[in-house]
Amino acid sequence: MPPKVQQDEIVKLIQQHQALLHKVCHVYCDQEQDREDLFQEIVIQIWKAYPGFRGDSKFTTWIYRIALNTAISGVRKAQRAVPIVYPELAPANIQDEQADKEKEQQIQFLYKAIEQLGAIEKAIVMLYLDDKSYEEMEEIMGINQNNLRVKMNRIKEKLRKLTQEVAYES
Amino acid sequence: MSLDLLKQGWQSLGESKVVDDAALARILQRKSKRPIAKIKRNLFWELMAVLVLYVSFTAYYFLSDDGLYWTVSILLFALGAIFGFYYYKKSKLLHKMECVACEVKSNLENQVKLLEQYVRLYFILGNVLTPVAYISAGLIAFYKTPNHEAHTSEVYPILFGSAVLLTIGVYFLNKWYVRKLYGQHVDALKTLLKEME
Repeated sequence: MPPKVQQDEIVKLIQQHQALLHKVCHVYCDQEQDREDLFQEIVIQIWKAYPGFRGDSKFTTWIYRIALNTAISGVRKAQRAVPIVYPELAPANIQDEQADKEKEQQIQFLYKAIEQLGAIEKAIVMLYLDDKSYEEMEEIMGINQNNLRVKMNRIKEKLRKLTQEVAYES
Repeated sequence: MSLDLLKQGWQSLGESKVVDDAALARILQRKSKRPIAKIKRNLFWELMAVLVLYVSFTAYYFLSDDGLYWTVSILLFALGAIFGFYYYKKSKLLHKMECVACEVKSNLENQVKLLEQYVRLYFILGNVLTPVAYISAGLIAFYKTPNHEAHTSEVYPILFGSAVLLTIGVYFLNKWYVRKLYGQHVDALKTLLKEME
């Protein structure tokens, strides 16, 4: 456990990157309580791992690894079959623009489709949405870039089909 | 529909929720709920239970009947030391198992490999130590009994027969227990690894 003096430093760093952690929690948990549990677990793991951070990689890469490792290999409750609505996931400007309801609905369908992906696929989608380069994705996931490109194309195709299914069901 | 449509909204996602410094500091004081952290805690309590049992029995045999069974207490002490080594090995494996700051794939591979080693160690030593302890204690107790030579033909089949039954029972119990404790977790990790191939 790091000494007490490091606590303020870690709290400050987590403050700076907590949006990233909340995104991971949103993608991997569909219930608020589960999201809070996962958030706390990731924070604990960052705190425990921090003395080992030597700056070999970017801090966001390091924090992403911890967040994804915690979310992926931790015990998570099984996903519910009932579709979950994500009102907070739609960007504020889109919510405000009532005229673009169709677009907003499409985004909801897409989020529901992402919810049905596997844990690794979700991680790849998250990194893609965060505009990470394939090189950074490789650094985080440990999957080579060519393989990641192939996977990304397959995921896009899968999402296209899932989105259609979700739209049809609703 | 393109995934790129989500990018704009994605950047702002998570920004609305802010956990303050005080709450973050409180989180840092909590215990981890991760499977490996739970296994470590289970291991600690198992070690405590074994220590209490072995120390009590060792003291009992050392002091009872004017020290007639002191050799049993020495044997129990030796077995306790083997258990101690076994827990040390398990604890070492568990500490190597967690690398949350590693690449996701290598962390999963590492976890699967070490968890399988851990389960094997648990299963093999658990199955071997129980009958060895039972037979050794039985033999020493028997040889300490007055006129034991006269009962050899009756005691040996009973001792070894019951040891065989005990071993079979312990084998199935261990198999069920190991599966219950770690099996599902190992399977889940392997499925994730397959997803990465």
